[in-house]
Amino acid sequence: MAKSKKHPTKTLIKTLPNNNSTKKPNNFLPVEVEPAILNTLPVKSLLQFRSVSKTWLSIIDNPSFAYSHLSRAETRLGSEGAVLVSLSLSPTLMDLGITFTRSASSEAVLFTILPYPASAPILDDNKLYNVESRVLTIKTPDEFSFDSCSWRKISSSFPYPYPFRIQGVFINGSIYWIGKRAPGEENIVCFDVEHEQFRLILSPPNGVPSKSKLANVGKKLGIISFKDYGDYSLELWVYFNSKWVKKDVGTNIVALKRKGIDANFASIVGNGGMLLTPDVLLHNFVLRSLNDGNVKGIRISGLPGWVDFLDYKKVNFSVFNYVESLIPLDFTVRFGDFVADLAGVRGPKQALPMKLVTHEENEVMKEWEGGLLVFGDFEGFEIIEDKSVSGKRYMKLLLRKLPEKRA
Amino acid sequence: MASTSTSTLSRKLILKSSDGEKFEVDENVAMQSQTIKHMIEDLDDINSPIPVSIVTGTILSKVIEYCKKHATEDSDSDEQLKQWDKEYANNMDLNTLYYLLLAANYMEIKGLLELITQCVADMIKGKSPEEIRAHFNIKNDFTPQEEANIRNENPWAFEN
Repeated sequence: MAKSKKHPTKTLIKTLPNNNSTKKPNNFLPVEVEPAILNTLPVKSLLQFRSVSKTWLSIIDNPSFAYSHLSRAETRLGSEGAVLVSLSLSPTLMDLGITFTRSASSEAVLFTILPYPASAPILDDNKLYNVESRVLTIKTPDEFSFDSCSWRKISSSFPYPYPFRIQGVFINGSIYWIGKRAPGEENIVCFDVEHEQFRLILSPPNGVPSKSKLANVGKKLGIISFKDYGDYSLELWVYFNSKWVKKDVGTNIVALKRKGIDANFASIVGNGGMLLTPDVLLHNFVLRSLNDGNVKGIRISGLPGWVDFLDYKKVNFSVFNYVESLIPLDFTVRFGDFVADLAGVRGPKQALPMKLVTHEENEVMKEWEGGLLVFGDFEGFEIIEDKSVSGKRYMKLLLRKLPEKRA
Repeated sequence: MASTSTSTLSRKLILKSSDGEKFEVDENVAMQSQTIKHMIEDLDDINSPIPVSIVTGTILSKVIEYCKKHATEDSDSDEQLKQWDKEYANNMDLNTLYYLLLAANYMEIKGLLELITQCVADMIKGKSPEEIRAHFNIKNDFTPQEEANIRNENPWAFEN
């Protein structure tokens, strides 16, 4: 405990992580920097390295290590652009979409909860775009907070009578969606943000496939289509110089199928990685690099629950980027007949305090300082101005009531 | 132009390594170390050598090499600087890397710390626990049963 080393000034006395004088003489790696090195490793390596020695096990299993590992991963991601996870639950049944972003310049993690009908938010570095049915609105981050909803209506009217299908993508100053001009006739619609104008993009040679998704492929518009029957083929087309070019994705979906992995849903994440996910929410994902074709299986837990209504189970979500973390995503909180699934990802320091409240009784079951919750499966969200004492705002989360058990 | 004017204007500091070697550096070079920056603020006499007590002369000279490169602004593009960093790190043997890492951590030079940590991490991330032990000369202090239990907690991590 006692510091034996004498330093000429007090600022020189610093606590180094794991600083202990009983360093094993033959240990080549200075103990002080072990956590720093481990901090940059992928999760898979870390889980392997737990079995290196008791010291490494204790470093890796320390919760504060897990948090610093996550925050490092997020910071690195932040420098490569904003992160957006956008969720739109079954459009007919649920009324939320949640976006989650971290900007490169600040620590802030922003959320927005979008009103029904499930809308398709898109984000670039500066602006959040939102499309609700046929009205396009734009909002800047300055006014971006939980409670402000000052959306601006775009004057130019949307020329296509049917609403957009699925999420749009933002590429080089334009937003692209798959839209319908007439029933059964799908087109790719482009909105030029600067000039605030809509136009139609030439469809790929065989038209817009029914099961397809737009993607940002190296800053170009791409369309991924897949067949969930027959040969389970996956195609990627990229729009370049006003032409559609087919890209070899080489994914052997059939092989993946044999390994028990569904791969009929796709999105592009990060740097040329392609995430293949099941259509109905399972937890097996496959991340395939578009550069070298490497495939790795990923198990993701803690995603929001799906809606089960008349056997209709569906969650539509997009993954734009990802970080690896040791922190488990899901833990279920249960208070008597009430439950909530929390996703344990660290949020902003300045987040509002959270209160978990039962839906009917309005009883506070648990409260904590903001910053822990990112998203969860709740009955509802509410921002409350505390009128009683502090006058501070907090976020109220409504717990779901478990269905009554029938005898 | 910018570099000559800053060097004539800049004050000189003397850094003293753990083995007594002294280095004269421009203030703006040394100030990349947060630790030194804080020390200077507390110092009355700027001309006395500043002891960097756990860093040897050999390592300190490498640290200064890095700080000098990163102190001269606008001479290199980001791309060139990245290339320089890469070559700088690649030219180190493992031993030097570890001590450099220790020094960067102690002296709080964020960029250098990041660079070296990433470099070491890249070297070890594909290795098995057995290779890690051999590499770093770490003693396996688990019983075979304990080790098997830990591995069984995350069997997928050990698959290819």
